Amino acid sequence: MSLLEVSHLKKSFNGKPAVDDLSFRVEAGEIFGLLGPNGAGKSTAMMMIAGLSRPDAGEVIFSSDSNGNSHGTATRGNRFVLGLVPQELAIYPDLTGRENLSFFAQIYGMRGARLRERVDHVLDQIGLAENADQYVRAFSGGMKRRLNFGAGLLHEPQLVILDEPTVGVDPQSRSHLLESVERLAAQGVGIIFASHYMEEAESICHRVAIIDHGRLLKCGKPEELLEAARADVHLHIGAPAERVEDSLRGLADVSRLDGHGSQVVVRRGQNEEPAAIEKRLASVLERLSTMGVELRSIETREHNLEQLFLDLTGRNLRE
Amino acid sequence: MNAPQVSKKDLKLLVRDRRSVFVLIAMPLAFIAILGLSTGQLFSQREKARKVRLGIVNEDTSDFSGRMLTEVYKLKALQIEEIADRKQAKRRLVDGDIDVMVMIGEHYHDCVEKLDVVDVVYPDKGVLDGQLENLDVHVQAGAFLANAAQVIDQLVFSFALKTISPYVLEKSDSELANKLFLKAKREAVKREAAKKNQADGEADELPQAPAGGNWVYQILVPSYTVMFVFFIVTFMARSFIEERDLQTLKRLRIAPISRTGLLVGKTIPFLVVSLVQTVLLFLAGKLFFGMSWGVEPWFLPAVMVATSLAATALGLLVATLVRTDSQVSAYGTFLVLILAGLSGCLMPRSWQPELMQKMGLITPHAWALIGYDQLLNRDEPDLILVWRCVGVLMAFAIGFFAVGWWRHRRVD
Repeated sequence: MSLLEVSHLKKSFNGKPAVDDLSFRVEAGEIFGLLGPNGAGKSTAMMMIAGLSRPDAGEVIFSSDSNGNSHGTATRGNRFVLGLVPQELAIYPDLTGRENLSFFAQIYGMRGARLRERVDHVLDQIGLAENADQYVRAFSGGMKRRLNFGAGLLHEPQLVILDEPTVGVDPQSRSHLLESVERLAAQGVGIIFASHYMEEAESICHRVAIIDHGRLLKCGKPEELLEAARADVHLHIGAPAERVEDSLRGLADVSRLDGHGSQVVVRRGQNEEPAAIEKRLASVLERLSTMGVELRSIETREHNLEQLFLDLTGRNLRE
Repeated sequence: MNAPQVSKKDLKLLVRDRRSVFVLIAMPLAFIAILGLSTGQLFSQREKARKVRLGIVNEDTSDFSGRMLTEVYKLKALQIEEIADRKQAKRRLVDGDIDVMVMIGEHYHDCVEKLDVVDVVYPDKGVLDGQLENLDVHVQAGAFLANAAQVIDQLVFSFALKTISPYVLEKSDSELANKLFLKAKREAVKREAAKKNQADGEADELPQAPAGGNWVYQILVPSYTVMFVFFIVTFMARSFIEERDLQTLKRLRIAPISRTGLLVGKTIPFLVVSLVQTVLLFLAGKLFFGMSWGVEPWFLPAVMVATSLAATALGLLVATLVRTDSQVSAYGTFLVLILAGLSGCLMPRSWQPELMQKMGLITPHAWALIGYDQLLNRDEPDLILVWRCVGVLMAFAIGFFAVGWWRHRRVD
């Protein structure tokens, strides 16, 4: 049984669907990327999984649920299973780092030696042991992010929801955070990782789900998704776009470049056979040659998740 | 239940917030001190009531006016100054150097000579017609004590009658007058001894609070304590808003703590702060302002706790009604000041019209003030009334908490 199973989750606000029939599962030790632009429904989905919002329909099932009962939101018992790291800094600026962690640990029932041990352990884990007794308001943005992350780990949750954990973080803290996430997964913790940074998701997520307008567009391992997607061929030519546009219509996209010349992109369609793009490329090259257009460079660009998202939705992830 | 952990954390944050200490402790103390000073009560020093400054112009050269003035001089509530002429007296009245002036005209003794016994036995009829002016005596007051003219007029009229009656009586029937005077003198000697002690010092001191405190602070300290206890409302609302804005509320809501536990945990620190605030203000009242804690001080904690419970429960309710810090500043402060004004925190309830006093009872403040008034200012406090006040305050607390809990559930 999966650590978490989200099944046909639905949620509307004022009749407008925010999450529409969303289903996925997260396994123990898996980093599951939830990708989508602002307003795609990621946060609403995470709030429902965390039990902070009640779904209109669908189920959220934790493997820890006794008797395998399914339910709409996280139950009181699941609160010990779940760790939430909100996008906003959910920590108290007028408490020290240690006081923050101690408070959240106490809320999870830790006392005495166990409390001190867990707080010290998490401080080490997030690299803030030396700054533990400073007020959080004096922390840098990256240190605050790390503390925010650590506060969600104190009770050793089996599933951690990370909502944009690296937004506004310096490279050092980002690298530290991502390493910590990978270490957690290696220890068997399931992680839902929502991020705008596709490189991050691509590099650390075992599987990703791409959602937009509340609907799941694609779900799978990043390499499988990218393998199924196309690889485009980019030609740099020494002629204005207007001269070749009509001739290449239907074969390639032409765009003006800064300075002299234009760019011709021969795109590989979704699930298109490699032979098909090769055939179109040959046609493009032949027509350019006929027109006497100078070919300055030719390159094949591999797709990444960002481009995949663009292909799937027609809009950029950061829109 | 993890409510104590939430309380401990919020208490730590509250104590670290210097603004709250300033508003909850320093501001009420400053208000009490300034208002105390404004009423002439310098801290615990009991200043004598300011005397009415009376200027006298005596143009009459007879003994009649001298005897009347002797009576006037006996009044210790008056600060009397003889002024040479009317012109100077009027100028000093306009300048505010004196509050009231009495002008005894040069025909005073002539007027007295014209009186018959019927005029002094029935002064409202006959020649006098109840008017001091008919004795050529005129009273005039300045703008600030306009009503005092009538009082001084009546006093001087009575003193005039007192001093001229024997003469008029003797003039009318000397034999009868002598008999009456001898009898009266014997009786007066007997009574004088009995009354001597009682008369000493009367009208010299301010009216005293029954329990011996400084009456100004007996009113100011509880009034401003109650008003500022309810300022906790704005701090509580801010704490809830901050918890939500910081997203820590989100983290707490997925933690194993119930909604009731969370609300109780967040309310308790403010209750503690409110109680500490009340105790400190009452201590300051006693130590610095000479305030008395009354004859039944052991009942004060009941009113204090009930008032603080009502204030913190109202704070919880307000926290669910406002969304932003600026709303707290606008609506919270408005609510606190309106309730304080309605209840009698800003002006003593006894000074308010009856309708206003009744309207004030819709506020918890008024019940707290009634309870404190009984305990602080009465020689024999009505303890049943005090308990009723405590009961009503508790009912306010329960009502506010219940609606706040329900609202919190709805808006969450």
